[in-house]
Amino acid sequence: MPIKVQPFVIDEAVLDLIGNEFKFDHAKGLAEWLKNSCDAYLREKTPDDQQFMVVRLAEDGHQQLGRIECIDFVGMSKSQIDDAFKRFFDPQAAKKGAKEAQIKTLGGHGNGGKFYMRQMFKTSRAITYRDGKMNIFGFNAKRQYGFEEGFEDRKTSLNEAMKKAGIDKLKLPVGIKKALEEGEAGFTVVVGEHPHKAKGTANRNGLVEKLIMHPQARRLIARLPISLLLNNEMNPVRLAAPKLSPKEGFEDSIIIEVPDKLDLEGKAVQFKNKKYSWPGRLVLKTSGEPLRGNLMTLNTIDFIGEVGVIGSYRIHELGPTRFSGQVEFIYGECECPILEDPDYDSVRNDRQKLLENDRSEALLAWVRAQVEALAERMETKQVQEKKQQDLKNTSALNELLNRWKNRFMGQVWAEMFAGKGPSGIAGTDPGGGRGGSGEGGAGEEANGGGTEGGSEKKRKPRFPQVLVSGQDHDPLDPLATEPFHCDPRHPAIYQRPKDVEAGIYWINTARPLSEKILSAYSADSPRWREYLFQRYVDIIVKEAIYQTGKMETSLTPDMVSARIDDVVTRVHDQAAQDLDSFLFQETFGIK
Amino acid sequence: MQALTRPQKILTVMFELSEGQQKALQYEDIVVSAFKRYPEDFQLRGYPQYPDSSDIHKPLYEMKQQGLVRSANKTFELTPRGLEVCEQLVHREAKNKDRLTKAEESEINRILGSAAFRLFQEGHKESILDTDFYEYLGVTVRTSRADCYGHLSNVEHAIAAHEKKRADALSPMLRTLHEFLIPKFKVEIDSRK
Repeated sequence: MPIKVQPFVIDEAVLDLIGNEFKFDHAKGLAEWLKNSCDAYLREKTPDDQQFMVVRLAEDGHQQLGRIECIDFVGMSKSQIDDAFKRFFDPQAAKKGAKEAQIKTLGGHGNGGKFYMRQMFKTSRAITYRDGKMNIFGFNAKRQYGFEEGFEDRKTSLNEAMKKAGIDKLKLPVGIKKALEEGEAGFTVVVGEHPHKAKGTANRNGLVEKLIMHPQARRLIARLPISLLLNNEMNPVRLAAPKLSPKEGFEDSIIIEVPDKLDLEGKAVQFKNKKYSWPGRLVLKTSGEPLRGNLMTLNTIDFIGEVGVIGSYRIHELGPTRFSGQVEFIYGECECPILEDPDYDSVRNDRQKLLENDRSEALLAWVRAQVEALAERMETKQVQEKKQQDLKNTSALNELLNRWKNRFMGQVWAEMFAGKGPSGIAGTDPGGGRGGSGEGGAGEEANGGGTEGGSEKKRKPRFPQVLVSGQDHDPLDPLATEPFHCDPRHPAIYQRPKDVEAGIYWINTARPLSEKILSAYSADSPRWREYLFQRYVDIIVKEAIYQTGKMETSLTPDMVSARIDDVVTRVHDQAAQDLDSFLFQETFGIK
Repeated sequence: MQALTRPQKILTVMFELSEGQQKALQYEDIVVSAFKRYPEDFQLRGYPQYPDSSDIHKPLYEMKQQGLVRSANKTFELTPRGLEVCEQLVHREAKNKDRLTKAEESEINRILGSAAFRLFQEGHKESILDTDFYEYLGVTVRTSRADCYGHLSNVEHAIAAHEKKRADALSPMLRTLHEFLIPKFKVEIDSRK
């Protein structure tokens, strides 16, 4: 049907409808104003360190905020007001007047700052000065907008304009002052009068605290010279974003590249195309303190599009994660330019959450998985540290059992095997305690330690040395700085081939039963001492069987069974005599 | 019919001495019996009336690495696979060549029941431990390097037999697992005495 195209007629009521959706508080609104100021500097290609902005808060005498201002030193011309400031819903609004056509700006849909002015104050205005002309444009109490009478492209001196804007006495950086005087810079003061009350941001302390934590503002505050003025102060104080010390052991940021494509319920979602060649990256960081209470808002992953934050998710909003205790220490940001692809936009008007679509859902799920993987590593480390603490007493207990075992084996081996050492060559090892006292041993076994094919003779302990995993360092690795750890699936007593050579056994404290005893009863309990003792029984039995195997031409099940009975009986009888307090007393002190 | 090699002659001697059973044989008994049965092969150079034990020792050691023989305390014993090889040499039976032998079946069953195979099947092959590898081969941390090589040879033989005789969906899995495990854990064998 051929039509004569007419401009759309839209009732102003739609502004209330959409404005209410923003659900502003003053931190969020101020962040919008700061982003607009930052974009003004970006349009002028001003370097970061010269993007001077001031947030000025004035109280009403009852410690409530009476006025909120955001000041920058760029300024707007009337044409910029007409083309950009006056226009709602213009995705190019932030780019209007830019020196560079392809400039990337923080502003998206050109609405946030204006809606904040309109919705959250009784009246508001932008007092702006550029090229010797002053404009004041704002909203009245009926939320209508327009130029203030007499202030539409009004020729004004700099001093007069600054006085009108209330910034004439402000202490400014030398560079800004010079640029103003030379006409190279202007200024804009966005003023909101009689702010509506908003939870948590009705007074100045609450507002500043929330502002420096706000995902849209904190990155700007960290990077740019943004200052604060309260009431009649004239000397701006630079705002600082909260600095978090990292968690010990996780000091370095974890950088993970976003894959070219991600799976979403069996469907491949692309994160790279002709326009967007780089899929992006996720940067995860840790905090030494849990991000709760006033730091709660930092427990967040910010999503960054082409330049600024286009969505922020508290970690719990990413979806259920395991290791909830650890995720409280994690924060980060995910850069993903393709989220701003106009052909499949994932950016919402208010830039709080991403628009729900396949791409954003796939990315959120992937980020959640990476956060969970980091949390798992942190949990593992914490568990190990806790266990190491639990095992602090075990070394002394183990040393006692080692000495007892050497004495026992010295006697029993002399009786059972005519003095033949269990590990082959009898011990002349001078190492402290390793070789035992040597009682009962009657010389060397010439045939080596049960292995064949070699004639190399190494000095090694006469009886095995028993060590505790997770507590003792590997004596065969002189460079080890960490205790030796066994896997939970390794046997309760574990040896590597080189341990066999050196006569070392590891009691695996990572086994589920061991973990259970340590967590339920602690390393000071008789249950734990008994567990250690039982592992020694295992080791002695094993040694006895191998020794028997070396002496017999063939080993039948009956022979093995008889040997086990014999050794275990002897071990138990001896332990009943020697280890009474070790095994049965509730508290056991090592002398 | 092809003439037996020297190692095959030793195997047949051991088979006769052990009456076709797994039985520990004294080294001296093997040397004397081999000499009596095959005097030309096992006589001392220059003294044909005496046996030369060194002619026996080296092949025995090689057969140990091939998984045909195992030894302890100067005794030697045929392995299940060694027995099967002997049966073929002695009886020259026309066995059903499409069926896995008892020894091959036993190797495959052990592999299928191992933690290494389960983890591999579940897609967690990176979680396979050294101790899982020992179970896979049927050895322990104390098994000598030569015996480990014997077990490794038996496993390789069994997988090859599975590929040839069964050639079902399991065969490539067994092969892939084996090829994953060997480079990862071979050092565990080579570092032994």
